[in-house]
Amino acid sequence: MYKHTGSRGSGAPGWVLQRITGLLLVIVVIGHYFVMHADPASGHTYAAVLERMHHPLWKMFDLTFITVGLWHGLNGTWGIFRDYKMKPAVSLTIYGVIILSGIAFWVLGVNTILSF
Amino acid sequence: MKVTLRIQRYNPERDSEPYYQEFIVEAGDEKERILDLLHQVKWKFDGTLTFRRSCAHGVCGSDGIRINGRNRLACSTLLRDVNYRKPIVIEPLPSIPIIKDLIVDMSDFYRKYEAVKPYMVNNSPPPEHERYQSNDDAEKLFESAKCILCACCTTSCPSSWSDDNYIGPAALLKAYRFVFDTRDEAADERLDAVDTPDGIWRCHTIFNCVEACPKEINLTWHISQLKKRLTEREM
Amino acid sequence: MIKHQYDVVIIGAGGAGLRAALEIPEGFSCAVLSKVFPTRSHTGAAQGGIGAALGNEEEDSWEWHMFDTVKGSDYLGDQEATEIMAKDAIRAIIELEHMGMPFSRTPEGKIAQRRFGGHTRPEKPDDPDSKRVAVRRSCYSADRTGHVMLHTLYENCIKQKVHFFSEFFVTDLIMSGKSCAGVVAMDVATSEVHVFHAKAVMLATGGYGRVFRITSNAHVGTGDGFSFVYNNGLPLQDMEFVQFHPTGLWKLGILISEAARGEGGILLNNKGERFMERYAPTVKDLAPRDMVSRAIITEIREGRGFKGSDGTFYVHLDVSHLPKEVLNDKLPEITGFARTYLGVEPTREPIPVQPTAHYAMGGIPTTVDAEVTRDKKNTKVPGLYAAGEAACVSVHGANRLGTNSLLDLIVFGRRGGKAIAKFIKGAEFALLPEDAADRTLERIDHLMNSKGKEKVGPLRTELQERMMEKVGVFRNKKDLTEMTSEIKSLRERYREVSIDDKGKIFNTDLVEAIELGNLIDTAEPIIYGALVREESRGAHSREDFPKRDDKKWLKHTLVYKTDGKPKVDYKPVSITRFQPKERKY
Ligand SMILES: Cc1cc2nc3c(=O)[nH]c(=O)nc-3n(C[C@H](O)[C@H](O)[C@H](O)COP(=O)(O)OP(=O)(O)OC[C@H]3O[C@@H](n4cnc5c(N)ncnc54)[C@H](O)[C@@H]3O)c2cc1C
Ligand code: HEM
Ligand code: SF4
Ligand code: SF4
Ligand code: FES
Repeated sequence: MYKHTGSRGSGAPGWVLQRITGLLLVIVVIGHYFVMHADPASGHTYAAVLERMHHPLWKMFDLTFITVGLWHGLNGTWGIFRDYKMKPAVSLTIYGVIILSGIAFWVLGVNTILSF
Repeated sequence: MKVTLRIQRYNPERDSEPYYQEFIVEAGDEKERILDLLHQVKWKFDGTLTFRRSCAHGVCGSDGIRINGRNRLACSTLLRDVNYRKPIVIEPLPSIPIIKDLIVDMSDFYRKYEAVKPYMVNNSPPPEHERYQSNDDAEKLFESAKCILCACCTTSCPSSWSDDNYIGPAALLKAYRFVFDTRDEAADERLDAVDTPDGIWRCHTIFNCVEACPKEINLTWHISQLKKRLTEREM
Repeated sequence: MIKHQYDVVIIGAGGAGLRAALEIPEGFSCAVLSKVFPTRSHTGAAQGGIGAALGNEEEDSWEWHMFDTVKGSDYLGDQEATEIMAKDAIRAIIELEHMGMPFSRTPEGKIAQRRFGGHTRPEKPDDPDSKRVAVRRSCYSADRTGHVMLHTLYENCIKQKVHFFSEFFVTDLIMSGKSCAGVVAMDVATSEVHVFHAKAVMLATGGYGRVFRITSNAHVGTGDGFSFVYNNGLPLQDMEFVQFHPTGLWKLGILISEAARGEGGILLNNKGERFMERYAPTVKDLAPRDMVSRAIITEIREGRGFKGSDGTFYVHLDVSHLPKEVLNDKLPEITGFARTYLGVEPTREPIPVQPTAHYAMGGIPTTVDAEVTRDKKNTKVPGLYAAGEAACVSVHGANRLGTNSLLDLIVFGRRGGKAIAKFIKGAEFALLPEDAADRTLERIDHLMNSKGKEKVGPLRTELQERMMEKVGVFRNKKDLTEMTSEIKSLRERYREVSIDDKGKIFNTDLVEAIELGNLIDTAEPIIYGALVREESRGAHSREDFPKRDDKKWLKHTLVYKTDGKPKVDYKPVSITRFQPKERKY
């Protein structure tokens, strides 16, 4: 029929991953909430962050959070765009922006986390 | 009692775009079918009013239309199912091309139906008797086999509105009908046909189709069974 | 005008037409024309089931099936044809299953079967003369048997890449000398007239229920096929036999299948009596349809009916004592109909029902291979075939048993398809007359330009009401004679019909006007058949001749159109195994 931007393989892995990452996000977001927001006094000082970030488990937690969150959010956004018929140039541009911003934010985030 | 029908009219030979026209009709009681009222208009007031219909009791799927903003069958919607104290708004099914008045072009809908190979494929030589199937397995198909191809679902689906290439719930339901038939051997080809960029993943479980289906088929459930089957296959 | 050439043209995409199409071999061109999209055909409305002596639920045999069909037909069915059907039934159902039809199943996974009116077995299997009791012979898929059968056949046509012309409204046959050379049709979407030149034409156009006011048939059941044949000088057979189904929803005529009684539903009058016990002591509510319809009308006439708000009368069909699972799993559609259309809750309340015009036993006379015949010697019309409800083979005789029509479609649809496949291999195209489309063009031209005062809607209602009153369940000479002049005047008034829609795109106003003409054409042989047949047999019940008269009337009627009064001729009945006996249940 006509050309599509993006993966040509089955849509199943993407769909399942979106659900799995969604599920993970629930867990991670709850964790995030308790650490950062449950007690307004705690967690926000540089010292506290520094201490936490030196712990490899916390590094893992944040790395997962950023990876999962970014993938879920951007894949979801791309999913919404894909629901619309677009000219190939437009869809390619949007796809590009999503992929590039994904990579950029990920590199930035990972860099930040690992710099501690 | 008197009831007002506000009908969307469009005759390509005359009109540049659709407009609304009101007719006041006489209804015996609130059990009158909307189809009977449309007939009253056509047979008494204006023979040019054009719509499809055949069976008049919800089994042939000819008369899917939009009544007060909901996709329904004219023959299975009674006055008491709608607010008839105000004008009843009657329009063709949304998001597919209008040919004339309430008649829409269904060819794309049928093309999508054919795309899922809507027929049983079983190349092993048949036994002399029937192919056995447990009643439980048979009943798994019944709900999907009820479909009358009225297009109420597909034309109510937001994904269809935004992308008219989306295969749509009716075709997906038909795919289910055969993929889950224990006698069928072509599940893979059908799964391939729905696992495309315009295919099943465009369904976001919005449930509009379920609400629209006059045969009370839970399309979303059937579609999610297909998604699960696809996921099992791919992973 | 657009011309096409096809080896085979099939008119009608119901069960009969689709089954025939599947027999046309590769290498030959075949077009199926239908005035509605194929799956909208009325076969999809059939609920109860399709008959075959599979013996999946209890012992059964095709001979018992044949006997029931012959007896049900009040001995007017041709036994040669009936034998073919009853024997072939078993293969035909298995074939449908192999094609993918989803059936309800027995615990062993076989096709499930239920009881149905008039289908019986001897109580003691080794003694054929013992008392007959109801047998489970109707193969079913909940109460959507026709729907899934129609879809299965259509699906197989897609698989075989059959060529469809959907929403093509056929208006006439093309006769070339004594053979059929094709059909004329109008593309409803554009009003363009198309000529289809063909070696073989099959009429599978279904029934004429819309001749009557209260009917279970679709709006498109306007008897078009009968009128094509009749207007081309060919006879129609046994048209007086109109089946009134006893249980139509009051006022609407929507069918409540016999399956409701097959599963245990009973009929009650206004005294709460199970009145069928008086009319058919052994099978009671499962007596054949003609008997039950007469019983209902008799109850009503004797003051034991209920009076409806519209002035018509009804009796009660009670299924409220049946287990909820039976209602929900086996009869979901029809309980739904009662709920939707009458607001009656069948699990608690009885359903108001009255007889509804349901099925045409008569029709276009054919051989057992669906070849149309032109006279009492069964002279064939080369190139013309008919099958399904439009045809009269005749297996249903004076009264059809439930489940035998769907069976008729697939058995004789297939035989017709096979006969055509054989015929086209040897045949040449008959000469296409220059004026093939003239009659259609004139008709359309006349209707489009007519300024007459008559309107389609009211004229049709008048026809339907008169037919219901005078040619209904009970008939008599006075009413029928009056009806012969009524039909003449209706025909004259029809010439004065004008339509509102003068456009070319989807002109359903024009289609309905032509259909009205077909209804009038079809009503005429029904009336004349009923008038000449001075006896009561099966569905034809004359108050002035209440008895069956085998000496004079064990024969088929053939009615031909003439310029004046139609001509009537007779044809013998084929009797092979079963000699006529009194019909008691
Ligand atoms: C409500 C109901 C329930 C029934 N239940 C049962 C049952 O349980 N068991 C059973 O055995 N029988 C049952 N019957 C009877 C049976 O369903 C019908 O007799 C049978 O389906 C007729 O099939 P057909 O193929 O002859 O015609 P149909 O299915 O009526 O098809 C006619 C076809 O001809 C086409 N056509 C007609 N005129 C034209 C034209 N002018 N131009 C082009 N195309 C045309 C139509 O478009 C349609 O495709 C039932 C009938 C009804 C009404
Ligand atoms: C509690 C955490 C979350 C859960 C449980 C969750 C769950 C889900 C699920 C199951 C889907 C798939 C829907 C479908 O297509 O059927 C989804 C889609 C999506 N999610 Fe999330 N999500 C969560 C958080 C987020 C966050 C934080 C974002 C944004 C940054 C986000 C953005 C999206 C987007 C854009 C989609 C696509 C929408 C669509 O397909 O309709 N989600 N989510
Ligand atoms: S559930 Fe899926 S198919 Fe149904 S309306 Fe929603 S998106 Fe469309
Ligand atoms: S699933 Fe329901 S709404 Fe959709 S086409 Fe079938 S019957 Fe109509
Ligand atoms: S007319 Fe057949 S579904 Fe409404």
